[in-house]
Amino acid sequence: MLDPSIRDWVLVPILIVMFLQGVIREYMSVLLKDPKKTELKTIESMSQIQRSKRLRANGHNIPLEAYEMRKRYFVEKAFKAPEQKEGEMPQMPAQDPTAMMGMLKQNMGMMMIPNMLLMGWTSYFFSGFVIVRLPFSLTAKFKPMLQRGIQLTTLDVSYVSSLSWYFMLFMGFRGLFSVVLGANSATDQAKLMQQQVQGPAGPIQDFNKLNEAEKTELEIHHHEWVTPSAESRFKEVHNDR
Amino acid sequence: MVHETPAELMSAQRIAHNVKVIHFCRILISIVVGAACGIIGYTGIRGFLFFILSWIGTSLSYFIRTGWDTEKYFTSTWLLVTHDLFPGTMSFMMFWTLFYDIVHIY
Repeated sequence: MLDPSIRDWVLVPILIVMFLQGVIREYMSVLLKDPKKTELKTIESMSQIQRSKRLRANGHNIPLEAYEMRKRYFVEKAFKAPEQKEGEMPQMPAQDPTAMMGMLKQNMGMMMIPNMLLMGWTSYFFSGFVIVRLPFSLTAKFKPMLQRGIQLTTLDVSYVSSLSWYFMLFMGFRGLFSVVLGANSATDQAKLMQQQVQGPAGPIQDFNKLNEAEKTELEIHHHEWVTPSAESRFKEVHNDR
Repeated sequence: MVHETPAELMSAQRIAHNVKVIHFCRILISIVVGAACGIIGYTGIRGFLFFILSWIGTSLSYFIRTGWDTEKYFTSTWLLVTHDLFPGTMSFMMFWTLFYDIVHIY
């Protein structure tokens, strides 16, 4: 029904180009990644906070003295507010945000630009004719979107232009890349875009504030040792014996 | 309140590995079913029905593989069924279109 040369010279090339673009982008991101150095202080603070959370969650399993001992360690030693020069503290969190934003913007630039380029290339060179037929039919509302550049008003909505083939490939290759190239690769862009919305909030947290918050939580936590009441609880559950 | 399993008793690494495995299987099966659909020549609703059938079949095989005890291996059963809905459907549609065109239209 359609000219086989379209298949040879349009369908397959766009397919190959998009696939290679994904592969190249993956390898580029691997080559250009600089090793991230995490500071010891950050890791230390993170693990202390985790330990304190665990204490609060499972504290009911240990007697009061043991719990108090641990609580005192956390409140007095681990989460002690540093009494250093005030000028030094605010600087570190302020430097990190600008560095993070710069890196994220750079990454987003590298992801978005090839996409825009390819989209423009596809719609410039391969416009004006029908390239694929979708196996399913859509309503007439989709016609101007899917058949950009084709002026036939009576043509079935299933016949689409190359730009919509580009979008279909874009969507479909996400799954394929996650299988072929390994998950969490650089090519999974929609996930990247989601991450970027939540991303900048992550590593820039001031761990002093976190320590303070955790300390307050610990101080107001009510401890109740459940082992003495285990016998009566057991009787409640098995009260038919 | 003390009878609940704390969330930390599930190893995050193992769960992530499990999710990766089901993602891999799901996408692969979507691609193969899409290609098959295109070659056979199903169009419209029949093709989607075929895909939904394969989706249900895959979910069933996940349940059988975990011995009907999904809580042991995954955080939720809902996740097993709907985790890769969008990527799977997109991959299916892409390969369905591709093979349908290569075989039937050209």
